[in-house]
Amino acid sequence: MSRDQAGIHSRGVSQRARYRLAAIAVAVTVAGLPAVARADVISPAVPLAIGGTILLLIGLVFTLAVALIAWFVLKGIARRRSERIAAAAAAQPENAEPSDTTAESADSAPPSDDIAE
Amino acid sequence: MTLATEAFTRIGVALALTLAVEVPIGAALGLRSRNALVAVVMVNVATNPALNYLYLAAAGIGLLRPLSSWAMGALFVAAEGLVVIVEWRLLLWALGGRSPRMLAISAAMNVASAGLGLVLAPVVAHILRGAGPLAL
Repeated sequence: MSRDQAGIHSRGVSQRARYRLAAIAVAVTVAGLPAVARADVISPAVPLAIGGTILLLIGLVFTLAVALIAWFVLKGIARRRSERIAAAAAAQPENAEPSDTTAESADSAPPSDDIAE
Repeated sequence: MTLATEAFTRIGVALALTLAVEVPIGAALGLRSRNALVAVVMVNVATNPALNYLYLAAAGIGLLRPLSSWAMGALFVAAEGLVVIVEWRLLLWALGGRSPRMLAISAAMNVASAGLGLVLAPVVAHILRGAGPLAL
């Protein structure tokens, strides 16, 4: 294995580990925050302003954590799509006619496998 | 029901109703593969709780109180428009495809769910015994 390949490999593993840690942290946050919010943290004994502020912060962290999970999943779908496109491009014959267009825009993107016509 | 439980319930109910509307519409408009359906669910998971959190937070701290019904309507339309744009860009990023078509799909899904939301919001608010905005 070349150094470049080793570098890519090690970077991929550490990135995967980081994602896994982030996913666990986010999952714990999403699962735990409603329980915290339902507990006595915001009981009638807590002044309304403080209770409201705590609730706002809990809601903010919960919302961001949920959005982060969605972001990770969408990123995975986008990555797999890029890999499929790269694999398809690599499988094309080298003497294929080059395209007239030099820049690809999203408007002229080829139909996706995931979208039925 | 405590305030926190009610807030989380409202956000959960809004997301569930939104998914119940938008996933079948997305599927009917061509987003039928497993990846496409997951992407539709995830763009809603990213945007809907955030929008409802902002509504609830704004209502909770009294920002919506001085607004007239016209201003509330304009805010609702602006928020839904922003959601359409965010979901369009996210779907395009995740699934590819043609940009105008993705915009049309995003708009169709959100118009349908927002319309249903306008009908159901008073019902849900009544069930949860709390008045306030609910964005689908």
